[in-house]
Amino acid sequence: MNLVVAIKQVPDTEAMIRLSPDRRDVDRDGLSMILNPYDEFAVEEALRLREAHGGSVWVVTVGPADAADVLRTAIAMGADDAFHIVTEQALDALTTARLLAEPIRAHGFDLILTGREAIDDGYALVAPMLAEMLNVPVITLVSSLRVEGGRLTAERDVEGGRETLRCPLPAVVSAQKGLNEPRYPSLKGKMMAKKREIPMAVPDGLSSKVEVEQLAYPPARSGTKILGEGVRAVPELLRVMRDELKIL
Amino acid sequence: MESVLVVTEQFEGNLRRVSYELLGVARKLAEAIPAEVVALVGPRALQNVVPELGSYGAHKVVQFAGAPESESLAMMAEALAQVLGELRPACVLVPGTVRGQELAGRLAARTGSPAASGVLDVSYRDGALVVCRPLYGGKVLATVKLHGKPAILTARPNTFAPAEGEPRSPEVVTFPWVSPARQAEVVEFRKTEGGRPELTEADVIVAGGRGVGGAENFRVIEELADALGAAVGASRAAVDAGWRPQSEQVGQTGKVVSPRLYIACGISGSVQHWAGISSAKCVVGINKDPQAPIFSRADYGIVGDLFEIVPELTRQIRSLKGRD
Ligand SMILES: Cc1cc2nc3c(=O)[nH]c(=O)nc-3n(C[C@H](O)[C@H](O)[C@H](O)COP(=O)(O)OP(=O)(O)OC[C@H]3O[C@@H](n4cnc5c(N)ncnc54)[C@H](O)[C@@H]3O)c2cc1C
Ligand SMILES: Nc1ncnc2c1ncn2[C@@H]1O[C@H](COP(=O)(O)O)[C@@H](O)[C@H]1O
Repeated sequence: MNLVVAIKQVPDTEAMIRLSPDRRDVDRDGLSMILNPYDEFAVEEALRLREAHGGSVWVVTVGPADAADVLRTAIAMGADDAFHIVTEQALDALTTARLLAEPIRAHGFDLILTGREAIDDGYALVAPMLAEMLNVPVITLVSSLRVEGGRLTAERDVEGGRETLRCPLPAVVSAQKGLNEPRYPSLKGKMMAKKREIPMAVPDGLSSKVEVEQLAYPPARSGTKILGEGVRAVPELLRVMRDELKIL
Repeated sequence: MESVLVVTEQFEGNLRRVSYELLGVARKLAEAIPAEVVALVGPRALQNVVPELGSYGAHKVVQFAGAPESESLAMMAEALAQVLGELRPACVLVPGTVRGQELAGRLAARTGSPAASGVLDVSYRDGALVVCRPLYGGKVLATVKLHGKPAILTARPNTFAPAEGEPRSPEVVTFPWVSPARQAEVVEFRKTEGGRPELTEADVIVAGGRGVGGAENFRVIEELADALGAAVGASRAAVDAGWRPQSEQVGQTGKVVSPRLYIACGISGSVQHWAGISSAKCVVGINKDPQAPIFSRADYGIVGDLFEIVPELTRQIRSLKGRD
């Protein structure tokens, strides 16, 4: 199988996010970066599909120079080849999908895997956008997946239940937690990945219809009001629920 | 005249509540632009829904003729693109549900439209839509301007209040159905049993974490949830331990929820858990450790053993409800 995985470098979930002085971007200085957690599931699933069906795993990212780190992480996990589309700009989902679609079309694919969403800008749109641009079916948020005779069967939770979907390949899927347990890169894999040359391209003339005017910290919550200790606090909580929240 | 199009979503023959919430947003926008509110019902047209949509402020209702017996929004991109070509709305509001997100992505790619998901606020300024949306799991809020028509927006259930207004008799416009090309086909749907509300749509959620200590013990959480008509949620620690299904996980790698009340029992309040609950209107923490991080961000807290507090809360709620 010709497997393609789109992966993104994002700030560590624990990281303190500081805004840049002009409040249009975040301050990347000293920010610890990781492979988007959902993309780990996507890479892992691609590796398992390759193990079961043969073929190759190609990982692609759009991001600044140091985003090559996540490509190396994926290579260390076992991906065969990587491609880096270099841009320092923060992009909206549509621009990202366009940048990914071009090289993926040229490379060819049976299955494209992405994460459910990038935990930094949280669009959860790139997978269906890629599918539309490349004229193939998409199944988002898959937590179970099987490939048989050129067809894909996947399961996902939707509001109100769980559904099983089927489509022919080529296709796009986005990975949800529960799909698998991602492996850790081996030491040998890491050493090997470090030395790899990663082909890259620098796109020009990026334009976007989505303009970030300003970033802000959310208004601080007013602080926790401790209603008391143990069961004695229960009547006060009931009062809050009834009078302030109108829940009872 | 300009228009604002609301894509409604159905479940088992009724409109999902998020549909009315989006109509509330559309009404506010329509006044600012000014524009008319168009509600789209599909893929399958619903009986008796037209007057109801009118009472929520729809000037016009669009439906399809000849659509299959399906509830899936995901298969509507082609049919909807045709409607957009005709109506040229300023904006399309789509439910931020699993299928709605899929539709929004496909549609934006098809029409080359600016798209923003999970919006918390929508306004109209200098001829463009301006939205506020969370980044970095709610650690940052972005104000984003969308250039070009139509802007495609999704909003999570429970983000906005459904607005009821003066009733209208909407004009009904019917478009022919356009079958989707390249669509995954739903071969099976298993409805969630148990009769509890869907997490992402729930008004009240009772969630348990590692402090609950085991699958059996979750009965106290379920009993409180049922007394309140609430959904049950869980931290990743509780899911990874196998006590609760993945579908109940709340947080960065689980569901993002926005209930009116979230009661976190035996949950420490990690950043990753907060990423799923930052838009809850009120968070109550019940934890035996007064230093637990949940007590620095929750609105209210009770310090103590959840196995004493939660059953007592359940008992008092039941007796309150019994008196009504
Ligand atoms: C990439 C990534 C993604 C993640 N995604 C998620 C996610 O989506 N959702 C999520 O929840 N976590 C997520 N996590 C994990 C997160 O970091 C925490 O480990 C997790 O939230 C802890 O769960 P917890 O609060 O139940 O457990 P703990 O942190 O162990 O807290 C248990 C709490 O229970 C209290 N307690 C114990 N006994 C009692 C009792 N009898 N009565 C009252 N209180 C009691 C303790 O005082 C303690 O505060 C993620 C982590 C990473 C790295
Ligand atoms: N800059 C990027 N480079 C490569 N893949 C990306 C990028 N942005 C998003 N993706 C992929 O698309 C998924 C969904 O991202 P999003 O729609 O931005 O939330 C991610 O989990 C990635 O798999």
